[in-house]
Amino acid sequence: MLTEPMSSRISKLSIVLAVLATAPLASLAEQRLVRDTSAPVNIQADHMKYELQSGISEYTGNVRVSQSDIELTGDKVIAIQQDKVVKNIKVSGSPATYRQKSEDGNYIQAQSRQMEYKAAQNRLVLTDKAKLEQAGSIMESDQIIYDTVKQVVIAGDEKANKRVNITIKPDKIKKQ
Amino acid sequence: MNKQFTLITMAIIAMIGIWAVINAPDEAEIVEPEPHFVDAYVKDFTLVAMDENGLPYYTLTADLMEHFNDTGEAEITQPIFSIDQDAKAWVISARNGVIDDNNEWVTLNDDVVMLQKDSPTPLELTTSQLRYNTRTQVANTDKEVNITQGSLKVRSKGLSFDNSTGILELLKDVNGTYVIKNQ
Repeated sequence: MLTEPMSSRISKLSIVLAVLATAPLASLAEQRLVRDTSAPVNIQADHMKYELQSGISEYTGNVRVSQSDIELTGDKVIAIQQDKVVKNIKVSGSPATYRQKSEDGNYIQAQSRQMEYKAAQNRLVLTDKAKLEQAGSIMESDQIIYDTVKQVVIAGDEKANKRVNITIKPDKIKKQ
Repeated sequence: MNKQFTLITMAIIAMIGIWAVINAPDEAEIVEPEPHFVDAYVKDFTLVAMDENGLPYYTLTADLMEHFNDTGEAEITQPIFSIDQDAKAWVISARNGVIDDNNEWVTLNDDVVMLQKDSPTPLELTTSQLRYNTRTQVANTDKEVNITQGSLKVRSKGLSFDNSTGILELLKDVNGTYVIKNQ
């Protein structure tokens, strides 16, 4: 009878333990994903122009977009529908702002001249003087792509021809 | 002396009489309000208006239409106004309405419902008053408006809609809700 080497058994055990340890986190992430994507998007504005043929709505004047714990503001919002269901929401302003309450009760805040909120994909694309502040850290770039469910920055400038500037507050470093 | 006094008195009376006649209001100047009454009416009717190509442009059906002599307006009861433009067809219903004397503006009042025809996801608009111009195909209102189309729901105060361009503008306090498509 062949016996497995001890090192191999320890390695397998550690993989199992790692999977078990991360399972609740994955499950939580799934729950948050379902909650956020099912919530309707509300848009308030002074004025709205709707093109029946294309399904494109243009909101102007004190525009406020909200979905669950997310809030965006801007001067102009364009909501693009596909099959009569909203697909993309483009926000422009000087600047357009984004705010989301995180699980610990703090706010994740962002601003840029242009924003594209892909609600179904939980993606927020900030372009033109983009700035994102999360847990005391500030990230500045020409483009920031942010996952609104996992609450993480998933990419900086795609072309990588612009420098990304990240500032971490000293008190944040001490805590870590 | 008495004779002289009598003549003077008569002359004065005559002058007053002449003055009164000259300054009397002209009969033509007396404006009497014109009576307001129904000079024609139609019950349970269907009116089909044709365009320059001889094709149906709009159809109006109603329980009753009363035409007034003085204003030239016609009041309609339970109107159903059907606009039959290619790919821009609508049905507008209301409790009552008024057609102006030029047959150009139709004002629909109370429980107004404007429904898009021949669309898989028709747009439905409800309001308490809607004015529609049969010539320019422009509709407008300053009343509260509720719009639904598929998963889209929008509320607003005031609306302007141009059926020829298919552009709908909501004028004040816009509040829209969209359902997100999961991917």
